[in-house]
Amino acid sequence: MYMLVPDEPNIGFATLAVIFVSATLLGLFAGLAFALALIGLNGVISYLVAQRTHEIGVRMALGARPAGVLRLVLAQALGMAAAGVVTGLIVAFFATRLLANQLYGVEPVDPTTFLAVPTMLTAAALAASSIPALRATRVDPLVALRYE
Amino acid sequence: MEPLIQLRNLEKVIEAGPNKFWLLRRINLDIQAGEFVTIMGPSGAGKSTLLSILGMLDGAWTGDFYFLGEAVHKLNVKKRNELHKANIGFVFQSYHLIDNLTVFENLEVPLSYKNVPHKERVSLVCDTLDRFHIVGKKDLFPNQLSGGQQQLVGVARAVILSPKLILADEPTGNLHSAQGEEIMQLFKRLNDGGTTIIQVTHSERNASYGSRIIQLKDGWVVGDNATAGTPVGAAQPA
Repeated sequence: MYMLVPDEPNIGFATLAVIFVSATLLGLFAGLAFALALIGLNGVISYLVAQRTHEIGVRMALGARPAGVLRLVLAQALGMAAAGVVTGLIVAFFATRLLANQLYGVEPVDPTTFLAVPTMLTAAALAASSIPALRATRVDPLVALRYE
Repeated sequence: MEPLIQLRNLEKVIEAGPNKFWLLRRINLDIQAGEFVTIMGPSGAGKSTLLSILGMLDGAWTGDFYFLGEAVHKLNVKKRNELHKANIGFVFQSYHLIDNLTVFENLEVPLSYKNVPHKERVSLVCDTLDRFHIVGKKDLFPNQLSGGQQQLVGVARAVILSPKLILADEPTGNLHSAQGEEIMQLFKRLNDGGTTIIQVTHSERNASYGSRIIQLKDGWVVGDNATAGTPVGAAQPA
C-alpha cells in the first residue's frame, strides 16, 4: 500500500477511507429509499385516484370544481405523508440515541435535522402526488357516472 | 314569461375518424318553469345526452342554450358550473351516493360546494332528513340501505339546495314498483311545490306523472305534446 508519509502508520487513512465509503453508500441508499418512497407514494395516490374516479365524478356533478378535487386528493396524500413523517420522527427520536457515540458535532435530536427532513419529505410527497391529483381534476363526470 | 330553458338548433356530434355521428339533431325546445317534462324514446335516441347537456355536465355541443335567459353557450366552464350549482339538482338511476360517506355526509356534499356555513349546513341537512323521514338512517352508509332508501337519499340530496330544476335519469330504473311509485309521488309533490322536473324514462306509468312528453328518436325530437305555441324539433327525419 502507498503511504503519503512513509514514517507514519497508515491506520488513520484506512479508517477514514472506510468511513468515507460507508457514509457515501449510506447516503446513496438513503437517496434511493427516498426516491422509492416517492415513486411508491405516486403509485398509491394514482391507484386511489383511479379507485375514487366514480366519487370524483359524483362530486363534480354535485358542483365540485377542479380546485376542490385537487384539494381532496392532496389532502389524502398529505394525510398519508404526515402519518409517515410522524412515525419516522418518533422512530428517529429513539434510534438516534443508539447512534449517539457515532455522532460528532451534532446532537442526537438535532432540531435543524428534525425540522428540515420532515419539511423536505412533505414537500416531496406533495410534488409526487400532484401528478395524480391533477389527473383527478380532469375526470369527466359524464364518463365517471356512466361507467361505474 | 321567460322560459326556464330555451334550446335553439342544439346539436351534439361525435367524430370517429372521418365519420361523424349525430347524437342530437337540431333540437328546439322551450321548457317553462314549473313544468314536469318526460323525455322518452328508444335506447340510443339521445335522451341521456340531452339531459347531460341540460344539466351542464356536457359542454361539447353546438347551438344556443338559454337557462333563465342566460346564454349558456357563451359561458366559460367556471360560470357554467356556478349556474349549474345554483339551479340544478340531479337524480341518477344508480343513485350515485358516495359509498364511504354516511347519509348525513352525503346530504352535506352539495352544500359544501356552495360554501354554506357549517351551522347552516347541519340545520339544512337535519331539515331535509326530517322532511324525507330518514332521520333514523342518518348514520348509515349507502350499502346499509335498500335501493328505494338510497334513491330517497339521492332525491333528498338533489333538493337540499332548493334547485329550480331537477333532472332525473331513469330515477326508478333500479327500483321495484312500490319503491318506484313512492319516488314518483315524491317528484309530483316537488313539482306541485313549484320545482321544474325533467325526467328520462322508458316507463309510460312514470311519464303519466308529468304534464308533457318529449319523444326522441335517433337524436331528433319526433314528438312533443307541449301546449300550443311551444316549438318542437324544427326539422325531423323523413
